[in-house]
Amino acid sequence: MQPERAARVAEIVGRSLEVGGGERTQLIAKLCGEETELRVEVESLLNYQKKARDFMEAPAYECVAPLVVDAAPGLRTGQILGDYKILSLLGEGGMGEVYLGEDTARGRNVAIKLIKRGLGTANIVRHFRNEERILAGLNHPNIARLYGGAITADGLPYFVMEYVEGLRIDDYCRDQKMPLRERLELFRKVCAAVTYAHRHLIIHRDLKPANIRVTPEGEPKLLDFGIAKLLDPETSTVGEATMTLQAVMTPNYASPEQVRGAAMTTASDVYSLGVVLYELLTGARPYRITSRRPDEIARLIIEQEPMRPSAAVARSASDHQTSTISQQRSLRGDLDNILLEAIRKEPERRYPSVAQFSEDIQRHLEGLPVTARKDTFAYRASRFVSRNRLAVAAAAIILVTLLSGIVMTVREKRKADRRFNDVRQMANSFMSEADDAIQKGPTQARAMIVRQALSYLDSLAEEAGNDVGLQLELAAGYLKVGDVQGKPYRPNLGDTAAALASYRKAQEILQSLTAASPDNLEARQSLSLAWQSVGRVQERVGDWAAALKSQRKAVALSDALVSAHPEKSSYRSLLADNYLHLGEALYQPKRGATNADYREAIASFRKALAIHTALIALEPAHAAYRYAAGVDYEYLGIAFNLLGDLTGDPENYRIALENHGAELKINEALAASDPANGTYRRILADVYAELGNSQLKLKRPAEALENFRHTVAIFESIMVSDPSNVEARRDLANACLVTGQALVQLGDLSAALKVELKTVALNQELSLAEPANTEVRGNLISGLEAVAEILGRTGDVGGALHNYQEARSILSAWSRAEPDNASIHRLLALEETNVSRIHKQMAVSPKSVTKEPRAD
Amino acid sequence: MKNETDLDATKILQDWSAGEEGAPEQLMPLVYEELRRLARNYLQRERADHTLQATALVHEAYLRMVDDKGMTWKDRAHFYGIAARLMRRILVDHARAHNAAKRGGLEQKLSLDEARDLPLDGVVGLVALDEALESLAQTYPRNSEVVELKFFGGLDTREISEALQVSEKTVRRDWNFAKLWLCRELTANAA
Repeated sequence: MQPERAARVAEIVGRSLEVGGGERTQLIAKLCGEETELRVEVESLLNYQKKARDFMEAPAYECVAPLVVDAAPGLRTGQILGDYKILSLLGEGGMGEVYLGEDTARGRNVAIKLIKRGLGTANIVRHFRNEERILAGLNHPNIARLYGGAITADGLPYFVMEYVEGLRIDDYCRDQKMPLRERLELFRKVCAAVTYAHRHLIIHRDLKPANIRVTPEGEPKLLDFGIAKLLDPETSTVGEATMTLQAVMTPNYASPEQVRGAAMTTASDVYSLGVVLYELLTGARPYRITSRRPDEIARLIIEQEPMRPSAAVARSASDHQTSTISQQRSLRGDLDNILLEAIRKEPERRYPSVAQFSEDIQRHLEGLPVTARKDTFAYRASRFVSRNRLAVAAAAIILVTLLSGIVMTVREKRKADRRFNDVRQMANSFMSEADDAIQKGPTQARAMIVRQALSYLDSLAEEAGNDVGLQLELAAGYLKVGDVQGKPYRPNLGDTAAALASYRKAQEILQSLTAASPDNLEARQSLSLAWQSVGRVQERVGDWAAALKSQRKAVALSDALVSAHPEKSSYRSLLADNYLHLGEALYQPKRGATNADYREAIASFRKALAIHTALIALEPAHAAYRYAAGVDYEYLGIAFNLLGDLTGDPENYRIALENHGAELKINEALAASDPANGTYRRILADVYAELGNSQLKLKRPAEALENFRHTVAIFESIMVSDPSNVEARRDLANACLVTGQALVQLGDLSAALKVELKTVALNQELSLAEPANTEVRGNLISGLEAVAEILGRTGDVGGALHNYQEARSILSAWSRAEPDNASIHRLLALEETNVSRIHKQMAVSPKSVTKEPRAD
Repeated sequence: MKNETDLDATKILQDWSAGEEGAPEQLMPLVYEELRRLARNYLQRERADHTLQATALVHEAYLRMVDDKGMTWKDRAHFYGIAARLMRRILVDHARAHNAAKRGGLEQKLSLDEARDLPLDGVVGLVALDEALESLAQTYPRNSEVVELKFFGGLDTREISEALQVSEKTVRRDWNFAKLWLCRELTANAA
């Protein structure tokens, strides 16, 4: 055919296709004119219009790709691979072939996943070595175990996993025609398994129906936990990637951050689980994906708003037999909101954790209101910041310490590189799980933080070997974790026993370090700090003798450092701190401190003050020294108050008031210079309380009450902004106790009773959460006594008796636990006296027994 | 996701745009390997993901092999052109080998009724289509190229219009015409 004619044929056919029927006939007649051959050719081609409609509309590779795959699988039936015998080929996944194998040593069947060549064999093996222990440690009934991994003779990596006989979760639900409720319950089991893994620092990264199997018994089993990370060479470098392998190969369940190539967190698993559940409930996917191009699909995942699940049901109705109307009705509302919250584009707007996602489903199942809302970003953001200040701060402290420390350890650079992501993940799950855990109370929050931080540190400790730098950083890490768990007088999670254990670990590391290299000054300095920390916690749990011993050790260690290097401010500052804590350990009244103890305590505080005063003279701009001097004054004041109690000499109260006055001056100046600083505000609250205490002892109740009210107001505002702050709760309880005392002195018994009942309630709550804390226990007894005394004075003898008896029962348990503690025996004897006194009173006027306003 | 060879692909394309000789020849084995690998992976994807995951392999190859930063449309068009041709070669070669194995070397022409279903039963038809496409190219070279880019390369209309430097309307007409022409050719040969 002549090119010119060919062009005309194409032209006429093209234009004809754009019109139809009679118009087309006319067009052809007009364009072809008398050229019969041309017209025949045009009409001949147009005859094929109907046949050609679907012709070639699917890409060629769709029908041919099956042929392209090599026929020969990587492993043969009967082949022996280490301890395993290959039984059969189970199937092929994106990563390679999966075989059924027999573990000949243990007599069980296993699944063997052979990774295809070309997926970065060397990287996989390296990643696997790094992760093996963590992955193999995942031990959960709903997670398929990873038994191990190795390389075949041909150099292909393979993983040996628990063999799971079961259907994909979507097939299972469909085959069983599972009702909605059961689907949700099944899904919650999946969530529990993922939550377990997240607490072990493992993100799945590739959650999809194919990886969630259901056994014939109806138990879900998650496959391939952590495997995606091993196969993704990008995991060691963050930020560069545009698209990961996973994003290209499995975009349907991938989160927006994943297709973007951004860092994945536990929130990414929340998202993928959300899509899985969406599909289980609606039979449809959340997005209208029409394109086949991976970059298009990625764009849709990033940009397109998902359909409301109830609407998606209607769309997929043709594929399903179930009644769409009732399905739509059951999804509309809660489940719509729950699913959409799980698959929000921004990770921070999703459920903060899989556990919380699962709980919301449970709330829905129980007919309770769910937390998911149509759009709760502003609400959530504000709530997150206010409720999680402590947890976020805790995470930040640990993170900063560990990261800066570990990254600085140059020789361990490689170790640090691969740990970096673990730490990131840990921080991320802190952030996301904190919200969840704190809502359920401090017990869970601390359990979570302790578990995560310690599992990280413990695993690193095993690798530290003889590396001095890494050991120092580890010790610092344990000290910080201990601080978060229960450092006295700081916002903490109130777990003193765990704090002690963490401090002990630091101490052990440092002791062996200083023994091995006595010239390592940094280790000696840290060891001194570790003793101080240990001592303070021992003091908190009432182990007075041990506390005193620890603080004397701390002082001796730092004193030696100062003698050797008097020019170093940091050593002098540590010594001053240690003197302060030594004094604190000495003057504990519940310990049964003697006159001599108080004298030594006061001398200790004065040494601390002298060092701090000298340091302030050297560096006047250094706020920390002035703050420390304020604390010295405070402790001096407290010591003189206590000495006054012991000796009955009111001169001591006057000196105490002077010291607290000096303290107030320092702290008011500090607070004024930095109004946003919570620590200064908190300290100011203490100063007001101590001033009030001295005034109370000097029988100036009106002034005292004024100061106590300042204290109560500050602690109440701290508690409102941070409900999990156990320390603030304890402080508030103390402030209430003394406020009541001031009110009693002023003669306002009804106001005093109200305040003291609050004291008792707060302390009971604290004591329940932390039974080992003797300070709280002591305060509870003081509160009960205060209530009893007020009730006695108002004539409610029965109420008074009840409270004295309660105080007595606590004390008698305490004295049984600590038979050598003379002070407790004294207090118990006092309580016996109180109880018998009331009994005598009641014998005189038995009627009042019936009146029973109770403290609890 | 770029491995050692990918940097090369990026560089080769840029050299080519800069007028360097012999660049496509260097690129072809790399692209060929990548496409073969992707085609294999395609099969290994899971059942439920098939429909949505049957992504254009050429796009995948491009994303995986080329660092798109600093690439011009021309570089991309070059790549797609090469990749589509290679895709055609790979697929047709395999179809031919498959036919030879399954049917003892006896190629069957497509029957009239099978024409509509060609892509679904395409093992046999693909070899015939390849031959028909050669004939089409003799008279209608651009239409043949559109088929190569769309059917074998998996490109969409806009991309083809960029690659061939013609309007999208022209691409659509070329495509529709080629479909009619090829359908007739295959039917006639089968008869």
